[in-house]
Amino acid sequence: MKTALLCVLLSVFSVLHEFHITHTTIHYNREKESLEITIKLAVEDLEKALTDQGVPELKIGSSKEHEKADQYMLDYVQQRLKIQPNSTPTEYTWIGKEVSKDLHDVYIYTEITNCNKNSKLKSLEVENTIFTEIFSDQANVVLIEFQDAKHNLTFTKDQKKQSVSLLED
Amino acid sequence: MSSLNIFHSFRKACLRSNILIFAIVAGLSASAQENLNNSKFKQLYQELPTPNVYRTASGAPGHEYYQQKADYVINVSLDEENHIISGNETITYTNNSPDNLKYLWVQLDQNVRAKNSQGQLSSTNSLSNSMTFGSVKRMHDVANFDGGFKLESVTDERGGKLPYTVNGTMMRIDLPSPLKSGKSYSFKIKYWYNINDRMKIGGRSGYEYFEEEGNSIYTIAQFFPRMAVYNEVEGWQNKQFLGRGEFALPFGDYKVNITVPADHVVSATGELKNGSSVLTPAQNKRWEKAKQSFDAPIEIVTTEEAKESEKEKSTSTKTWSFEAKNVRDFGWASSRKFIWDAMAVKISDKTVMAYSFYPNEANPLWGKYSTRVVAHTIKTYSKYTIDYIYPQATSVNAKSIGMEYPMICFNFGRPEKDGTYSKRTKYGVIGVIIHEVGHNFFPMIINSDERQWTWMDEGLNTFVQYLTEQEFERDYPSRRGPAQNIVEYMKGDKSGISPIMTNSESILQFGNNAYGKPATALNILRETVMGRELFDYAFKTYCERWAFKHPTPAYFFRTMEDASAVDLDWFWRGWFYTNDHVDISLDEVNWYQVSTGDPEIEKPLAKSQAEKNDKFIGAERNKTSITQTVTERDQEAVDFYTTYDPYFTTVLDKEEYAKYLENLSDEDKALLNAGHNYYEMQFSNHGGLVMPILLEFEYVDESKEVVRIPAEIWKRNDKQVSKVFITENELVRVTLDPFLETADVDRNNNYWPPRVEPTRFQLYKQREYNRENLMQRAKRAEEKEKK
Repeated sequence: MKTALLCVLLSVFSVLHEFHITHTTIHYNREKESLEITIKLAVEDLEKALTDQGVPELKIGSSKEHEKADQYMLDYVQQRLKIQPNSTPTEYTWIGKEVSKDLHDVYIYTEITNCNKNSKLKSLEVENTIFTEIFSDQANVVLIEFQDAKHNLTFTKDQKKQSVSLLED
Repeated sequence: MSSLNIFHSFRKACLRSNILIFAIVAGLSASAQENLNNSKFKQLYQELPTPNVYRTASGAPGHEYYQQKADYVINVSLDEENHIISGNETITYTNNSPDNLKYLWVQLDQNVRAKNSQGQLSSTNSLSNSMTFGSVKRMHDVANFDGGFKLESVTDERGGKLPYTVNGTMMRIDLPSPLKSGKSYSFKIKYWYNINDRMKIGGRSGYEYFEEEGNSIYTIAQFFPRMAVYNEVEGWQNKQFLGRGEFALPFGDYKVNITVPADHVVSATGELKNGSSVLTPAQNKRWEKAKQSFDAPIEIVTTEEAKESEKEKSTSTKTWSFEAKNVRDFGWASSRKFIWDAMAVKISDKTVMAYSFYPNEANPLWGKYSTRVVAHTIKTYSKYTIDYIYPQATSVNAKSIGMEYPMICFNFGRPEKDGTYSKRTKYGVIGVIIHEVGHNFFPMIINSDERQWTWMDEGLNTFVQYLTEQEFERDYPSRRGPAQNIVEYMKGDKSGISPIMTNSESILQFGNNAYGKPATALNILRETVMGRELFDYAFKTYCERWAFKHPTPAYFFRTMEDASAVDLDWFWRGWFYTNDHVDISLDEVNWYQVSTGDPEIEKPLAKSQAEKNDKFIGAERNKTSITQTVTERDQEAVDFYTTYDPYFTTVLDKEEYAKYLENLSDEDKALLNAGHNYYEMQFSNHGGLVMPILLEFEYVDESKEVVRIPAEIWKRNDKQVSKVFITENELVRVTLDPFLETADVDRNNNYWPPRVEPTRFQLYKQREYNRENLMQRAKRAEEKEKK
């Protein structure tokens, strides 16, 4: 009972902004044998998550953007979105970011290179806990596009880790 | 895949049957294999309620339509020191239903914040090792807050106690005798509650505390026990308030007296009736002036006055009196920090006031935009729905929320401390004001049941919001509306999404489900399926029919069809009742031309075609590896068939061709000589949603043509169809859905010849990689200029 009480966390009611959802696409580039990762996050949510960690306000995408904004963002996604080819912890490299046309979201582009030498890429383990530390109703959608196959996954506070086999049947 | 065929012996009879094929969908109905009607075009008889005398099959209210009325007289006071609201109210409830009512249900929404409320207990959570202090603190704040209505008395008009039972956010009042059809009953409730600190524990209403100066902005709503809706659809709508599914409320007239510290400025639903006693003469004068100002807002309570009020706290009080007619709810805001500006708006021949209340912290953004946006919003919505009928519309600045009540809404957005603001903040403010002011129409006037259906107000409102944003500024960065913006959601994992027709509390991905998808669906109806003229008329008809009434989904669906003569059952079924997405592919383009019949043309063509088809690697190699065959070596082995060439044109062939020409009518000859191209195209539906097939043809001469085929092409086979197009020119390229109208999730199968679209990642990388970012570039330019 004590836990039940403690765990009560009402999300902030608001009409325009209670959509706690992120979209990530992991696209396998056949020529380069790399995983091209596009992470779409609400700027407001990302700023909130970072300030909660003690990071200064980044003012993402504005003319007053913090000069280390990219580094802070990479650190955050690296910490909350783990992509492990063949169950091997792998860091990814920063490609860049851009704010969406409607100014609501930021797209973060990262890459894992050379991950399919000799067609050794058999599985992808994904752990996605983006924003689950600040919103109890957070959902994170991940689409994996490998060769012709598509794998669609949803991550929540209760479903943090999922593994996908990339072997063709 | 494409292939080129030369169509032989393309005679008259053949052409006729081909013309028939134009109208007939290829393949047999897939659903014929099953024993049930699973057609995507199956009519919605089973999903929609049976029409009756209250609600008709046309989608309009029926001849015996009724609704209840709830009138309120409320006296409420704000204790600023302790953040407490206390009030007493008299509710007069009129039973217009044909039924006698033994009891009444009253909503106690504040109880959602009571300790151990159902809303709190039923919201799922978990802990993790890496929780931040902030979120742990919030958990404590929520758990420790002593929220909920404290009821002091529930009595009849003369003070006699009424028996009542509280079940969570609902209270049943047992009447001394049943309330007969057509009769009214008045009763009184005395209560108080602790106001929640919105910044600590959230909430649609509450207060925002400014620590440095000790002042607050109170945005107050759900502050009085409110009547539930009773009708023939739900009986009593007494489904518990769990936090998400918002409100269902009857219409009525309100008299509300609000007592606050004397230096506060109050904004509320309805009209201020005692301005002469609560405002200074100068403020009253400026208010009168604003009523004539149609071009720019005028400050009624000025920035200087607000700054002055902030400095001290009055110990005396003032009572502000408001009246509102025919509203479904009442909200108000109070603070000594408020600046109040106003301008007049013409709606048909009526003048409506647009108001904004905001602290100095919201300037310069709010002074510039808020009231102007309120004015633009009621004007634009009036065009697409019905004329705004209330005397005023107000936008109040409140940190981090957007929330709507009749005539008043609370909206986020403030600039930085230095007065600058980002583009995102600017459009965030404009967007939220349009959205929340827009809620005056859905659901405040067109009063759907929010507890049941979020999309009916949020979806319809987000759709008109999009139209209003686009009229505010060309290429306004709208978030929801254009079809391509919903693709990401619709192609996502199906286990993580739910159909639009899902009860509010069970919706997954709330924003995309109840705001984005229905708004997009309506845009698609308007731009692609129905066309603007038919859509706008039908949409307006729905608004006219259900203004100041309680519509349900079926009557929206039915009215849209009734007023347009477009059968949309397939559209509602696909977009509102399923999680299907749009993915149509252009599989094949087959090119035919009319055979001339002239053997001297057709035979060589046929020969080269046959040679092409016969080619295989063995034959190619044999040409050189076999130096001589038997028939090449031995003339005796040769006979007629050895040398016979079926493609050789003989005299007989020529004669027959001449005769064939003689027998042709002039019409046939014209057709023969026209040199038309016939393209048979095959399409597959991978996503499940049937949609119109929109094609752009590009010809060899670089001209372009757009062909629009209605969704009914899928009516007998919703998996695969083919269609023939006749063109004068030869095609070089075909694009399916060239203007991104249908939310097709995979565009890589939309082209002939096939083409793979680069991903967003790849586009970015091509453009930006290894280049300085825009800010670095701007900095460099600046430095160069200095030199």
